[in-house]
Amino acid sequence: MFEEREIITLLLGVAVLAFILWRRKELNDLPHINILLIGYSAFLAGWLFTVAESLLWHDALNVLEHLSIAAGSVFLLAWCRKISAAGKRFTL
Amino acid sequence: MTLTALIELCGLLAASGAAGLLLVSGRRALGREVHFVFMALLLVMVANHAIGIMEWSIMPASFDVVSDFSGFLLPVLWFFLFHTFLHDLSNREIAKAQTRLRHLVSSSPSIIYAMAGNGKRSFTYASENLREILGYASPEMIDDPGFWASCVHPEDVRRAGEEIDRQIEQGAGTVEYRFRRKNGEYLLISDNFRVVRDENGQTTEVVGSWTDITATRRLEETLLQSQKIDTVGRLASGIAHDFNNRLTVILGNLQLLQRKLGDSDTAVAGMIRMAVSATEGAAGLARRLLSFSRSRHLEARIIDINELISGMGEMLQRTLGENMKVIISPEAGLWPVKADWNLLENALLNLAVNARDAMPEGGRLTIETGNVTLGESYRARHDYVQPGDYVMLSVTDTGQGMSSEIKQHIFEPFFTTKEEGKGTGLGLSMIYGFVKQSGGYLEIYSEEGQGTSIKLYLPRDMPPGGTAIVRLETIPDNATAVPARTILLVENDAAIREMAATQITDMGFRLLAAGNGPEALELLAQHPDVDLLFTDLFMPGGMTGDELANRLRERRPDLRVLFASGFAPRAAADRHGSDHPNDFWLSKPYLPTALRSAIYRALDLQPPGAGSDPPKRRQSG
Repeated sequence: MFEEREIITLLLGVAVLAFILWRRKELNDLPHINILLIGYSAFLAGWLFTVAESLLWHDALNVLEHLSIAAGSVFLLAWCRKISAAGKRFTL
Repeated sequence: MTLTALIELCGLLAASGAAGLLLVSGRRALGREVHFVFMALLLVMVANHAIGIMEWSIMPASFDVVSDFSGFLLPVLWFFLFHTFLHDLSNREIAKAQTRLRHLVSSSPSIIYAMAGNGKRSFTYASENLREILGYASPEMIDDPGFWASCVHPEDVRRAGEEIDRQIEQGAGTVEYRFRRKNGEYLLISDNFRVVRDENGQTTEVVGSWTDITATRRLEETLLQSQKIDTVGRLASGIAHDFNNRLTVILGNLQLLQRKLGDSDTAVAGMIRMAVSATEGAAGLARRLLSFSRSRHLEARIIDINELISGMGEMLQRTLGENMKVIISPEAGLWPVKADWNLLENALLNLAVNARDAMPEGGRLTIETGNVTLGESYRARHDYVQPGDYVMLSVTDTGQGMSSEIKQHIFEPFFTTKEEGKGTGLGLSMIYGFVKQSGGYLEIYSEEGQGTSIKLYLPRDMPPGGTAIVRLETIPDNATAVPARTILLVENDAAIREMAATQITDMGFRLLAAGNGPEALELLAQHPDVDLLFTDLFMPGGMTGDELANRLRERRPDLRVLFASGFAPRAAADRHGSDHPNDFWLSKPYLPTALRSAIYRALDLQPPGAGSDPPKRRQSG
């Protein structure tokens, strides 16, 4: 059974993905942007698995959902570490 | 604890770590806005993971509302994060562009400004290089509404103001005027401006630039003056060349006539002497014209100017009169220069006579010498000067000086401030030509009512092995020629050729005469035993004497060549500078005695009765 809030979260996530793709060229100027984008993709996958678990393989997809979101957090940590290590304001 | 709770724990640790890192150094690295949004995202993540742990371990389904809320919040925060990043990037681009623009404006040789469009010339912006170029700080210009009017030269302020107002109405324009630097010095400024209008066509402001064109304008004026003098010089030298050819024929024939007449008719002989004297005067005039046009052959040798001025001191005092005090101030250890002694002597005499004329009531004439090194700083003020070591010869009087108007024309031939009949107007132009041809420079400083100082800068030269031109004695007219020497005469002017041929055959030499280079080549092929080529240097419309000599020397490398020239093109003079040991020169117009002497020297012949010393070969230093 689909849950409304999960569908809305996924739709919002897809909208943000569309925004990223639209402004991809400008975002490329950010340092280590790929780490950040992979992190976001992990979150998006998590939201997708949340919706999908209502249809099939509930337990497995639920684990994947939490795993994806946790992986997203790990990528965020990695990006923060890179930026902090630079020790100064990033330059374009 | 379930597997899911363990995963959430990992996520919690990662999100907490990231939040901790950002808290410590994130603000400096990311900037305030991005840092704030990022921290919000991470805190929601921390909350999300914490709820996850609790739901999957101790309190299932207790945090549904919080979980739902954070679920919606996450994509929204991600959107804000990317959006804030983009906004930050855009701000940085703008800041970077502004910095770039500021540096560009500051490195520009012009001052960029903006002023209100109300015609009051109140400035709203001035680039940072204002201080560097004019010495003022930006606030001095911006805060003072009368800044412009107080800095523009009083003679220019009204005209420039009117022109600017008129051109502002037209939308853009350029006006030149003198502008005072903070140190009081005036610069010539080119003010280039454009009106900025709003969408209704109303003037909002005027933007423009001030460019210092003082040096450019000075260079343009120097170039113009130099071109003018060169043009007049070319004209003068062309006339002098033809004039010389005719004088050569007149002088030659007059002397032949004198010889034929002997002592039989003293009245006619007297008339001929007067004619010779007048013709020699005319030849002198032609020589001065050629000196001005820098086309005269220089008898350059290494000389000591101190020796020259010391030798002239007494003579100058006598010439200039008792009410003139001549002071000679030679610098010890003066460098040698390579110049024509006679022309330099004439130049000094000319300057002294000019100085006397400028001091009718008497005064002081100072002649000084000195070693000077004209460096890059001097060049900055006199763009035409080649930096290097020079010997300076200055002639300073305490006379009436000259106006800037007179200074502009002073080197032009026939320009004179003297009464009619008292000056030819060729003195200074001749000095100008001579100094330029010697590779030097001339500088005039004059103050009306105070006096004038003229400085001649001649390039320093070191004698390689102490060579010098040795003054030549005139060979007596009655000397007998050594027979069995053949001279090949090449002259395109038939009258001169005929006259020279008569003189040479009279001397007893064998003669071959040709009207041009190709004829001469043919003659040499038929008569390879030619001892001397006597050729005019400049033969219009064909092979020059110089080229002919080179061609003949391909067959006869040891061939002696005597060039006749009053008009030596610069290229030929430069070539002569390389000095072929068998090159000799004879100035036109020439007298038969001068021709005889030149031929004897060129053939290395000892004139009968001239003593036991052999005649000296002319050398160039």
